[in-house]
Amino acid sequence: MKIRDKVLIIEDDQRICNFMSSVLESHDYDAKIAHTASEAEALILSHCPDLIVLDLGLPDKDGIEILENLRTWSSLPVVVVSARSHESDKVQALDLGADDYLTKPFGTEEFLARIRTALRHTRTALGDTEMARTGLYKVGDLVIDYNKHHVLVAGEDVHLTHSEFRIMALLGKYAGKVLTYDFIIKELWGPRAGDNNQILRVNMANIRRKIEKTPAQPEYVFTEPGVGYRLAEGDEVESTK
Amino acid sequence: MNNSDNKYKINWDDAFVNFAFTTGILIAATVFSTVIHKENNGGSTAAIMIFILAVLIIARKTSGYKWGIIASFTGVIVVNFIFTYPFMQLNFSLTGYPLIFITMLLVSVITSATSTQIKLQERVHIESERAQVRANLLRAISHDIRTPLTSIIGSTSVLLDENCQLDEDQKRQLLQDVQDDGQWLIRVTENILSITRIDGDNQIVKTDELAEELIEAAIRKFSKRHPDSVPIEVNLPDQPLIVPMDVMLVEQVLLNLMENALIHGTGLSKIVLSLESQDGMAVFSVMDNGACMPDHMFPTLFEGTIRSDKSTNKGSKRCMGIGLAVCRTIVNAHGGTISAYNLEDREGVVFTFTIPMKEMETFNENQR
Repeated sequence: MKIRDKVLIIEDDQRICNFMSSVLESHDYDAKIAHTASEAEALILSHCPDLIVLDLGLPDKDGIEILENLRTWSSLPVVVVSARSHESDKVQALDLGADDYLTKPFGTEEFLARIRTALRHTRTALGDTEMARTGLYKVGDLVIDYNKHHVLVAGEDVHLTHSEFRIMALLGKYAGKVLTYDFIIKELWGPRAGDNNQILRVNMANIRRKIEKTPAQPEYVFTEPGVGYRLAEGDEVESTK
Repeated sequence: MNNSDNKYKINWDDAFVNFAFTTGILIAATVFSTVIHKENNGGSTAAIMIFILAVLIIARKTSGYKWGIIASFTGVIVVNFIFTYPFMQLNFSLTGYPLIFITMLLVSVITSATSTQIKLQERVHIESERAQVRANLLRAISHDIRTPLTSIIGSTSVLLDENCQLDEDQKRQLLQDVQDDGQWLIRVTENILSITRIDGDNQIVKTDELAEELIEAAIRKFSKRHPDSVPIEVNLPDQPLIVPMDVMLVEQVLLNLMENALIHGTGLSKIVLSLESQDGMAVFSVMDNGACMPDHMFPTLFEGTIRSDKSTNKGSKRCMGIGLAVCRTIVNAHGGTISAYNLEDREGVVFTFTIPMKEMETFNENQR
């Protein structure tokens, strides 16, 4: 018997559920559906899913509450789904422990990609064993060297400053996942860093000019407007070509 | 709470402004009356006239009734004290006093009432103009929704019709059409949502964002939606530009402009996005090297009333009626301006909009 990853979909719209579960089932996932928060809570406890797809706009309880409750006892990966105009919902969810987000409407490719990334990150903790062994993170021509504290593009050291390297190191640690601006600022400059938003942006602008061939069409670091930054994962660079 | 976006405009609802104005006019009236009083030697008629005029001016310009009435009282006292015999003494027993006082008071009240009514009429006028714009937009939206829906219902009814024998390619094409229509509807929805983000008073929540990141995100989104679009060139300045804005709204503007270029730039081979800094404004431009826009379209381009221009309509180039109107609403709400023009050599069309920037502080000392 083949063991498949179990995905719990928490979504109230029946048609969207149909779409999501057909995509998942046809890609060898075991999909379960919950339409309300209470159904979801019961299913999480009884079926122990490997990943949860959570719609933030549920009828009976706020999706955020489910997330908060879940995070008090589990680091189970959660991908939240929300409507376009609610960036603050997404940011709040990410800051509360959601692993990634999807904006409605989304296509199959994007859906599957986010699920794969989220599952991979729980499987292998911080990056893969390869990275743990060599201390290097590689994507395309980019290499982040955690031992020597430098970043190479096509073999050449791009001479990042101390702050710039710390930002890249953080993005590399969570490669493929979106990190909110607040999260990065807090990780790098502490919880009372407050209004270091401009400093982060200017550092990113400099990083971009150093590592990207065309800063406006980046290959490695992507901006999610209103939310944060995401470093490309190994296969992502290949597929955008 | 009042929102005055032009810092040089005088805010007549501010108590301090009203106070200063009232005091200023009264002092001017006193000075003027003193001069004339010395010339005329004795009569208080001139002073009375000047102060009635002062009260009228104050009532006309200040807001509400109180400043005019205060001015009336003050005027009466000043005229009595300084300009009426016995001079430098208050004496209200002289005949004619009640008349002067009542006249000033009436002038003040009637003028204030007239001013208030004028302001009210102006507000009503603005409201009705806004209602008209809203009605136009709603009409455009309804058109933009009905068109793809008609196509969806049509395509799916053919697919569901048992009598229609379709081969795999035909079925696939119809399904692709349904998906494309769905995408179109999403874009219309996003435009509508953008409008709702801007409340009635054009209040938006701005955060400091890097203009180049916005451009990057917009291009990525655009390329995903139009994988077979013409190549997009980008010109960015060396210096990173930080622009306070609602990033989702300005992204919407860029997307609408790029889509517009792709759909209407007949024969285009590239789209060029440029960003530059000019006089404290971030200037974004979207240029396509397709056919020029007929000159008669420019005046109403951003009104939301444009349908496809029949004269250049080669085939079914679907037009989003509200796209450009939404662009203008968003740009204006940010305090910027949007415009379009044909290139001088008639080799394309440029849409350009500005967004006010912030002063960039130097960060060198913080980059450890």
